[in-house]
Amino acid sequence: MRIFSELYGAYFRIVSQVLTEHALTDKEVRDIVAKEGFRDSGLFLTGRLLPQKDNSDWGLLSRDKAGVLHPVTVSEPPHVLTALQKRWLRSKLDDPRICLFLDDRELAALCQRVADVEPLYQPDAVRYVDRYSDGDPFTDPDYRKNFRTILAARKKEQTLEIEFISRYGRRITTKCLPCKLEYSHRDDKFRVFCRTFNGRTCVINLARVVRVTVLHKNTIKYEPIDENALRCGEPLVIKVSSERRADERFLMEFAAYEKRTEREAGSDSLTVRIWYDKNDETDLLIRLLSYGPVLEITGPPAIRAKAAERVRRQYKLLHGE
Amino acid sequence: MAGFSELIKNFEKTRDYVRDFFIYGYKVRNDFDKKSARTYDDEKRRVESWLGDYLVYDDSVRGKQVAISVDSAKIAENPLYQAFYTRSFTDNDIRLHFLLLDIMCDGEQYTARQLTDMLYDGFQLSIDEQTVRNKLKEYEEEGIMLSERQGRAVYFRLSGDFAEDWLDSEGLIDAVSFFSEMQEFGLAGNSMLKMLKLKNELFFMKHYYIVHALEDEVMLTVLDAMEKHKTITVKSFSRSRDKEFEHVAVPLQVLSSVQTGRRFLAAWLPESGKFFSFRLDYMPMPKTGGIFDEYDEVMARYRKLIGHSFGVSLYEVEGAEPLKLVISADEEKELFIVDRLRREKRCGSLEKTGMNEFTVTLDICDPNEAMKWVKTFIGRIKHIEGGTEEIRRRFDSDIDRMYQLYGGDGGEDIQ
Repeated sequence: MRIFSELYGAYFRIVSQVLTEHALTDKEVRDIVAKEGFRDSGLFLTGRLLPQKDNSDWGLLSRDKAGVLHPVTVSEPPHVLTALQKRWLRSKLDDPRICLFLDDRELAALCQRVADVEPLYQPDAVRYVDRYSDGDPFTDPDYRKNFRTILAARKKEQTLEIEFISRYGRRITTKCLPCKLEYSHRDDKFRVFCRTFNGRTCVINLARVVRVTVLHKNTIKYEPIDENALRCGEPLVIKVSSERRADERFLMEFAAYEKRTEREAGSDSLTVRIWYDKNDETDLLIRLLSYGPVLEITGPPAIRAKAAERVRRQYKLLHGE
Repeated sequence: MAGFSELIKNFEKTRDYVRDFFIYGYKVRNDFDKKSARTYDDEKRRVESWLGDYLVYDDSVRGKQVAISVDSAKIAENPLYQAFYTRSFTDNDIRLHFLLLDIMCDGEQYTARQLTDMLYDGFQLSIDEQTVRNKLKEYEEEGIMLSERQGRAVYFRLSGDFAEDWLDSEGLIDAVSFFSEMQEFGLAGNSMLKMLKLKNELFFMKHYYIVHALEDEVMLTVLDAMEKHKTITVKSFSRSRDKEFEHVAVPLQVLSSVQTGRRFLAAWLPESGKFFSFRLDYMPMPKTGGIFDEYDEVMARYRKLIGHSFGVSLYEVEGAEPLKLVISADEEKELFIVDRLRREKRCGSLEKTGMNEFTVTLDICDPNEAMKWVKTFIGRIKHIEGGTEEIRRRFDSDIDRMYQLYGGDGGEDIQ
């Protein structure tokens, strides 16, 4: 059982798609390769698909007198699942989050289908050492119901009335359209990004939702969330030294961010610019401070000042006023 | 396909380049000195072909830098999966794949000899029976084919497990879409979606280390050995990566950090009689060995040890005392700090120890491992107790150095 296998490869997938068509032109073959392949696939793949005078092609397409291409195969290529795929799906049955997507009947049907399939790995084979302990209650019936209603509304672009408890403990009811569902691997929580009547984006933690009602009139038009609306104006600029291998640890930890990194010639430190969502600023700040003196926030000045303020408070806690 | 090909036979080398482009975006051509410049050029061209939209180029004083830059919270599909869809194959591999599937999708069973004849009669493909048999056996291992012996003959038929039948409900497609972006083997789900020309457009992931996908091939071998209680031979490198070591290890558990992005394999080293954590991202493909007879006993010891590890350290620091972190937080206005302590303390305990004062006690094997987390509370730490003297001294020194770094008391940085 292999994971790096041509069976999953882009070329096999493209050929499968080409052989699904009964008749194609050369241009249609080229278009499929261009759309489904890598940037350079046209250079390597098209010549092996199209019949060549010297028979250097794979012989999977033939050309009729009118120049139209036909698969030499009779049936559409079947999509047979591999053991890896089935075993992966079987292992997901042990994950409590699966009940967010399937009702009890569907879950029972899937259990029956994979009864003879060995899981790819056991749930305790992987331990998430620093995941927050207050993750969402995925198996709670109310949570499941709310999640499914919001997910269905996201797909059908339905306006909802959502009642939820804010982080300050206030009960809030809002009419909105769910536009994006986000899961945090660290927090083990779902959040839904919604558009409200006045075009603003509101972000609601699923675990804080009390009640969801589908409204009959879709009064809010679906639009994808503007990812740049929350983007910081200026990137954070950070200098990280190699002391305690901070540079290597930092680059790994902040790999999930859009960033630019530069190592100056002859220097043992890196300069990194990081772009982030404004909502994450405090979280980012405390994570950066946790590196101690081997990392310095050099800009923008307002954020550097916030870091300095925390350090000054800490210094006074240790040494007195 | 003579000369350059965008497909590759071996993932190991490419894995290193993709990781370096993604994690260490500052490297220039000369930094990739382990292999020739030609190798670098070929690998870079491949990555450009697979991941062109995510590559950024910067001219630094040291030369041209190539980096993969992506905010993983803003993409619905891990782009690094592309690197897995690049395995090379022979002309016969692809011909046999599609022609055998075409013959066998009638649900009937055939011997290798029958199929060899049918390939020639139906498609004028002249190929020896042994090659056909090898392909059928390979596909049986991959789960695509089933075989049945009847007398001396072995009959093969196509597995009846089709993606369309398995993913036959909206709920299942949603589940596969979601799990296809999970850290362990999400690629398997992504490949299922691609079979049906589907893709995840619903679920976005935050705090998502997409680079872990590059370790999936190694993970598969490690988890298989773990399941079968087998040993593996692991190569590791010195910090400067100029020395290579080999260890026989008993894999026990994968330790994954969702905050630092690092993943380790917790293992028992029978030769030295100790537990050890190997970085997974630097681990070359290990070799699987024989069954380790004392697995249950070692696992029981490991469970005890990991129960009081703050992260991945399996090292018992001699003379370490429980580490106490005393935090100042306004009980009325700053409950979010208390919430943070509660959900982030891991195996520690939390108690209110005074007016606007909360203490987390961490009775852990290696208190030094908790110090990075401790420093996320900078500005609120009244004091730390226990641990080791070295830890407390370093904490004080760190705060002093940071105080100087950010301009001291009257510096330009204080608003």
